[in-house]
Amino acid sequence: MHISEGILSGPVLLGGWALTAGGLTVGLKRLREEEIPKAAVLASAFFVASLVHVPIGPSSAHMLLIGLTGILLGWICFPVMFVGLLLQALLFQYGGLVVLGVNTMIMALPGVMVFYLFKWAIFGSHMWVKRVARFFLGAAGIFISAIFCSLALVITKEGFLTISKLIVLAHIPVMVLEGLLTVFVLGYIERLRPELLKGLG
Amino acid sequence: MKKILALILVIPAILFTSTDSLSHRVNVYAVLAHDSVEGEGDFGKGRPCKSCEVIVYDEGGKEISRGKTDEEGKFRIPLPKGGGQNPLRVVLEAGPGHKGEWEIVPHKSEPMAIEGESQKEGRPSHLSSQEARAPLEREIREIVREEVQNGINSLAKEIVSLRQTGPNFRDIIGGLGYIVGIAGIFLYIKAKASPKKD
Repeated sequence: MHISEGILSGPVLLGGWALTAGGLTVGLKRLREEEIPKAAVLASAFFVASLVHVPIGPSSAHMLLIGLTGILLGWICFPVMFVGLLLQALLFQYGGLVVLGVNTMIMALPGVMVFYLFKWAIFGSHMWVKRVARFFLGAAGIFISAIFCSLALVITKEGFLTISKLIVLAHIPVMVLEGLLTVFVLGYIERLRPELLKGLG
Repeated sequence: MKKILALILVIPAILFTSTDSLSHRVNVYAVLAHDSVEGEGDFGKGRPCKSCEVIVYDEGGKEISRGKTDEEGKFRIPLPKGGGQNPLRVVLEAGPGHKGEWEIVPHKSEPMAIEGESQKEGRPSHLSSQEARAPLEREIREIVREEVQNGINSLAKEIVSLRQTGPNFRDIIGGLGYIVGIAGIFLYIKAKASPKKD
């Protein structure tokens, strides 16, 4: 989902930075002291998740943990993913510094959207409904992100359907995997430390 | 709790990193060979970019030629006449949002004594013999250059692959360290901003 340096046009890059700056401001304002360790752990997870590749067909995509980070952090996933992406750009040469704004927007905004769309999946009473919802929560993070990624590319180069189809298809395995992982991790947190989820909402 | 979370998320991720950790970066390597550009592209660790678009741009960013990589990620793109005289930029497009670049700076051939008039400061007495030697010398230069280029190619490729080994364990641990450090800075700032009431 990281877009390389030198692909997008100037206005798209600037727009990405503007949206990311806004998201960062909101996220940092909401970041309470007691949430910093949780944010750091998720930042670490987000940072290394990009190394877990899911090779399918000609291309391979990697884990992003957008849904999980989003549901646990809400707006705070902006600063968390910004730091993760910055380090990925500097250390792994994924993406780049100029496109960092767009890349943060592509991954953090879906996280925020997932947070508001699926908050109910945390507190629901029926176990299986919750599980299914959480699966879709994880998958939706990737799906929305793929759409944003296509949009960013399309504004520079036409052909939205082709590009978005390519990106979404390439990420289907990741969607399934992240869906399952989200179910597992949220279930685990719920059983062991439900108070971590209470703070949401 | 945080420890448990960290274990669930971070440890498997690190364990998974051993293989195939580089589909992101597109590596391109290209050289000038006569009137074409030859090279190959991969995603690191010997995974070739199969049938990807390769575009050659000139100094001004104008497209002068394009082609595709084969099943092994190799490509050979013919250049228009005189295309190899100036610096070139070879761009490999590997699917939406992913591309790699490689610059070719042509080896500027030394001014050869082919045309007599190019030897303005030259010694007129030697002009005729130099003129006679010129075609042979040019041929020898061409052959030597080609041989040297062939010898260098594999070495250059090795240097490129060494330079682009991708994320290693040190980078990963370093990145995690940075995150801990950044979290520490934030904790410090927040703690200063809102002193705990005892």
